[in-house]
Amino acid sequence: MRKVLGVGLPVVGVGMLAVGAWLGLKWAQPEQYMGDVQRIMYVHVPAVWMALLAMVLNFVSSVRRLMDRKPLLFVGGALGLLAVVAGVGYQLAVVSPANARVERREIPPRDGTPAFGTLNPRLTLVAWTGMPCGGCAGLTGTLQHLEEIYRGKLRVEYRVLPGAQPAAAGALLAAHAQGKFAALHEAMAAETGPLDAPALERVASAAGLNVPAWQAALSQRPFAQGLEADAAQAAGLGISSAPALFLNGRPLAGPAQIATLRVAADDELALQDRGAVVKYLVGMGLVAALLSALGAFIRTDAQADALAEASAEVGVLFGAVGVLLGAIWAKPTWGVWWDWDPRLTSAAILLVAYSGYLALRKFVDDTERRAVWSAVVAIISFVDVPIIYYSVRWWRSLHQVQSTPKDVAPDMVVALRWNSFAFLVFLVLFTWRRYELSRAQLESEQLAPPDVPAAAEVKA
Amino acid sequence: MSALVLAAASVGSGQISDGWEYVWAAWAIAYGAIGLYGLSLYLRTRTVRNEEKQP
Repeated sequence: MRKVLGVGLPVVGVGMLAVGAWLGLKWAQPEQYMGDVQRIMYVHVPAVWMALLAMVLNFVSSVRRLMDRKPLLFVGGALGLLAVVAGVGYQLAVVSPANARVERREIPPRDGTPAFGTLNPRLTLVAWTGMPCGGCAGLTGTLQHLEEIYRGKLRVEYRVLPGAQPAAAGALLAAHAQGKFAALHEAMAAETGPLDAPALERVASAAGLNVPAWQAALSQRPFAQGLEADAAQAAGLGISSAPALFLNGRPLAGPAQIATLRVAADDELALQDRGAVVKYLVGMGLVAALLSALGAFIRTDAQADALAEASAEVGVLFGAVGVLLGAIWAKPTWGVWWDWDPRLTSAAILLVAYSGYLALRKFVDDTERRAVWSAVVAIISFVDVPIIYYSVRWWRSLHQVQSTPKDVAPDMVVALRWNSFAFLVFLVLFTWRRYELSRAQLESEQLAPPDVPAAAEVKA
Repeated sequence: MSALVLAAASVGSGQISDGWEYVWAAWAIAYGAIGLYGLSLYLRTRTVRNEEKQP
């Protein structure tokens, strides 16, 4: 079996790398903004992931080296259980009652509706507008200001209520085709008289629309289906007058003023943060239990020490490759090779810490001391791993937030996953081979005769 | 003027154009590092086995 794996893993790995190169360099399409430079991602991201995986293995081995299997299982299981119980308790005592006081309505998304803000929002504000509208003057400006305050978190979507003047509703959606929804909306809201055809034309001209194109759109009515969908949604929600605002499905009462909208947005974010605490606690609990169970598979202290050394060396290799490739990617996209950004800085700290770990192992000859000291250093160094992962979320970072398969094109997902598995084959192969070297070294050290005493000591 | 034309050409579409030299460098470093580390492991393993064979 070992011989088969010894030959099979490199062959499979090299084959996967070859296919991965074709997928990443030829098959995947250039990215919308980064063009072909994006292809660096297919090796940069797998390298970083393998480094982090190796550090997790190093952490588990190091903890196992300091603890026997049964205590490790007990402590890990107890910590896991405690975190899960705390998470569930927090959910029941704090999060669920807070959510229960909020009434939410289901508002399905609609393609082609006037919208702005981030594509991955924590806050989605759906604003129903239409004419006549008593409180609509300045609404678009207020919502734009709100988006500036919650940039990266908020998305604003408009829906149009046909109301008493369906011609005005159609006029707004026809203006959206020219990117002038907000301009026409404000011009209409400021109009005091009835919005008949001559008034609409005058207002459209004042709002800077291409009036002939706008009139052509009005007669062809490409927006008719959307308008019907908006009307159906409004009827379902019981909306009869504009403006009507919903934040994450939560109806907002009162005038659409920036102060009241901010209160609602902050409350909504606080609710989500509380929910995130539960997820963190339960997630941490499960991870602690899983890692302690993984550590309990390592039978002897010598195995744990050898695995820690092997995983650290392989982790430093992949980490160094990941950082170097990140610098190469940064140059054409950010204009600089390096920036002391939280993600890059924490990754650099990781490399320094684990290089120090490997250096420490070289300096200490006593196997027991070396194993214990390096295990302690490894556990302290591991604190940096979750910091690297969450740095792009915790701080304002030049580095992009982790992408998910939902955010990127399917061809990118295929190329990235394939290359990640190719790198994983090499992570397993390298760690296994390096582990065997460490075991052999440890065994030779333990078998070696003690140092010959100095002549003076012999005489004494 | 030519610099202005070049700059306009490179940003006009909103997409970074070219940059293949960075792509090749990155892939070469990644594959090179994997190959070299694999080679170092092979050589170290062979040395250890040779030492084990010696009496």
